[in-house]
Amino acid sequence: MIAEQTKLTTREDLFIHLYESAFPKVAGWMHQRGGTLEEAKDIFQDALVIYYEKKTGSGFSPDTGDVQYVNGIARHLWYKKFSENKNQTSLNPHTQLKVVEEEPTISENLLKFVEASGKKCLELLTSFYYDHMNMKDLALKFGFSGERSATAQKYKCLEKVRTAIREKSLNKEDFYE
Amino acid sequence: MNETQLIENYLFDRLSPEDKLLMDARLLVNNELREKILWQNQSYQLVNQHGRKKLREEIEALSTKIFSEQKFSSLRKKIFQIFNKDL
Repeated sequence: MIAEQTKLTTREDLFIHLYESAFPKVAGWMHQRGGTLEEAKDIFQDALVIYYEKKTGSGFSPDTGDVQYVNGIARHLWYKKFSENKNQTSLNPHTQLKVVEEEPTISENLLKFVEASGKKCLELLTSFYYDHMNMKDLALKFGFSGERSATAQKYKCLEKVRTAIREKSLNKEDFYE
Repeated sequence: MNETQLIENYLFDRLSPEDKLLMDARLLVNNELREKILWQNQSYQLVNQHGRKKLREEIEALSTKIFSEQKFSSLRKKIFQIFNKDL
């Protein structure tokens, strides 16, 4: 618990801490149930994604501590994987995504199109909507004079992405996977 | 409040009851606005999908580092012992 109270400054620091503190327990638990190292790695990676989204999205702070929480998610994913498909020996990318989110996915083509046409904007929007960075930090990270100009730029970027999606989605089969 | 912000507040349910009513009324007669709402909703999905893709890439790269770099050798040893693998 002492390590968990230490300020972990970057996302990578946090994940390294979780690899060191939680992964051996998760791997040991899965090995006892016949899991391979590759399966343990895949499930642990999925668990980190869920943990990160939960933590940044809601400011959620688990009572039991981060290590225990990631451990719990990994076990849940393990059971889910084997109850969904007992004959399957490894997770495919679609199964992984389904575990995390059930919403329809934007096609890879459309995603790549927007990634290529507005990289900077997408980075800014991701920092705000996915990583839930506050406006003050966002302004600093992207070099804006203050929160007001960062907010204005955020909406300009959103409009740009919206327009790109509109243009691209005229071709319907390009829209959803 | 510009239109993009207005749509965001509508989608995230942050408008006052009066403004929401006004927006609903506009939507009945304004096809273009209805479409913008649809595309903007897709924009948030796209941003989240991009964010998750980047996060997965980062975690994958970190996993590669952990299973190759010297500074993680003791962690690696611990894990390989679980699976009875040689270093």
